[in-house]
Amino acid sequence: MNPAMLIPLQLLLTVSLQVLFFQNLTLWNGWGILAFHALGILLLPLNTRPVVLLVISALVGASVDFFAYGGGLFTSAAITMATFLPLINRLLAPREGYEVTDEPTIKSMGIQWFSVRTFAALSIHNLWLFSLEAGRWSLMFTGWGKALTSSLLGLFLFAAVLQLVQAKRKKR
Amino acid sequence: MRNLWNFIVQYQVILVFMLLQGLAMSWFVTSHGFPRGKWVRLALNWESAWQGRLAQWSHRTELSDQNIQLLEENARLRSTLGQSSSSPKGNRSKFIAAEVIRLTWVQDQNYFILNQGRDQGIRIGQGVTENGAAIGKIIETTNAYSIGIPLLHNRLDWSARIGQSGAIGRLKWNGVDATSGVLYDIPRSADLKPGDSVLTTGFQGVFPPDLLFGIVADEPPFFDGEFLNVPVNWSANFQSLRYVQLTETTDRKLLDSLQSTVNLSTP
Repeated sequence: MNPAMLIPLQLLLTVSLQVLFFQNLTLWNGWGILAFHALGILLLPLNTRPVVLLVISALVGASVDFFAYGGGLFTSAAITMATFLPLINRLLAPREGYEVTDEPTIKSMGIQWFSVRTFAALSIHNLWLFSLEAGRWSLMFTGWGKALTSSLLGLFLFAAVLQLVQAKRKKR
Repeated sequence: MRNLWNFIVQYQVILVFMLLQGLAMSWFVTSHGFPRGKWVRLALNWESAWQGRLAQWSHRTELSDQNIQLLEENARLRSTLGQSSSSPKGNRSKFIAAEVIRLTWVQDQNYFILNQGRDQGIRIGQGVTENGAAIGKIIETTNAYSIGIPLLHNRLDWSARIGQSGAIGRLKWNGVDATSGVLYDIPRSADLKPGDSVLTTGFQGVFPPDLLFGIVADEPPFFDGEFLNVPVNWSANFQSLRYVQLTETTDRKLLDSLQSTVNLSTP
C-alpha cells in the first residue's frame, strides 16, 4: 500500500480502536489504562517535521476527546508527547543518524530502541494526562504511579500488536 | 516585519505548541468540574484584586474631580456672597477657580503658574486667594495658563490692615522664612496683639478688602523710628498650594480711571 495512504489509515484505526474499545478498558483498579491512539502518533515517520507532528497529534487527541468525552484531556497529553518526541528521537538516534528507510517499528529499529522510545513517550503522555486529571497534590503521586504502570502496559500492548502485524506481513 | 517573520520561523514549534496547548487546556478547564471550579476561584481572586485596584484609582480620580468641583463651587459661592452682600464693597469682586501646576518658594522672587488663562477670564492684576486667604497676584497670562507672584516676593509691597479698622501698613516678605512676612510702617500707637488678623485693604485694586493675609506673629515688633515693624505669619501654606481662586474687582477700570484723574490734578 502507498505509504501516504497508510499513515492516515493507521491514525484512523488507532483512534477508532481507542474510542470503541480501549477507552472502556480499565485494568487493575485504574492502574492499567490504555492510550492506544498514541501508537498512531508513534508510528509517524521519523523525519516528520515537529510542527506537523504537533498538529497531527492535536487532531488525534481531539478526535479521542470528541468521541470519548475527554474534554481536552487527551488532546493536551498528545500535544505534550508530540513536543518531546523529536527530542527522544534525537537522543536515541544511531551514531550515523537515521536512514531514509528507517521506520519507528521493532522490525526496523529493534526491540530495545522501540521499547525505550515507546516507554519514554508514553510516560510523558500518561504523566501529563494523570497529573491533569488528578488536579490536586493529594492525588498526584498515585496518578504518577498509575501513569508509569499504564505506560508499561501500553508498551507491551504496542509491541505485541506490532509483532502480530509484522508477523502477518512476513507470512505473505 | 521581516524580523517578525524570522522570529515566527525560528520559534514555530514553541509557538504552535503554546497555541495548541492553550486551546486544549481551555477545552479541558471548561469541560471538567474540578479544574473549572479551581479556575473560576483563581479568576475570581485575580478579578477581585484587579477591580479593587481599579476602584482605588477611580476613587482617587473621583476625589481629585470632587476637589475641583468643590473649588469651583466655592468660587461661585464667594462670588454670590459678594454680590448679595448689602455692603457696597461686596459687589466689587467675583472669583474664578484654578489649580497651581508649578510653584517655587525657595527663591527671593518666587512665582506660580495656574492652569487657567485668558480663555477662562484670567487677566493681569487679578488677586489670587486660597481658602479665602490672599496669596498673590497674576502678572502674565496666555490663552490657557497664567503666571503669578505670591506673597513670597521680596520686591512687592502689599497694602494691609490690622483687623477691620486697625492701622494700615506695607506688608512685605523679608526673603528668609516662607511662613512669615513683616508689616512695615505701623504707628507706635497702634493697638495690636499676637493673633490679630492682617487683612487686605482693597486699596491696590488687586484684592477686595478684608481678605486674610495672615495673623500677627507671637514675636515682639521691632521699632523703626516712629513706626513699628510687625512680624506676620502667613495664613496660607505656600509649600502645599494646589487649588486657588482668582478675585476680580469688577469696577477696577472705573476706580483706575478715577485714580488717574487724581494723579492728573496733582500739582
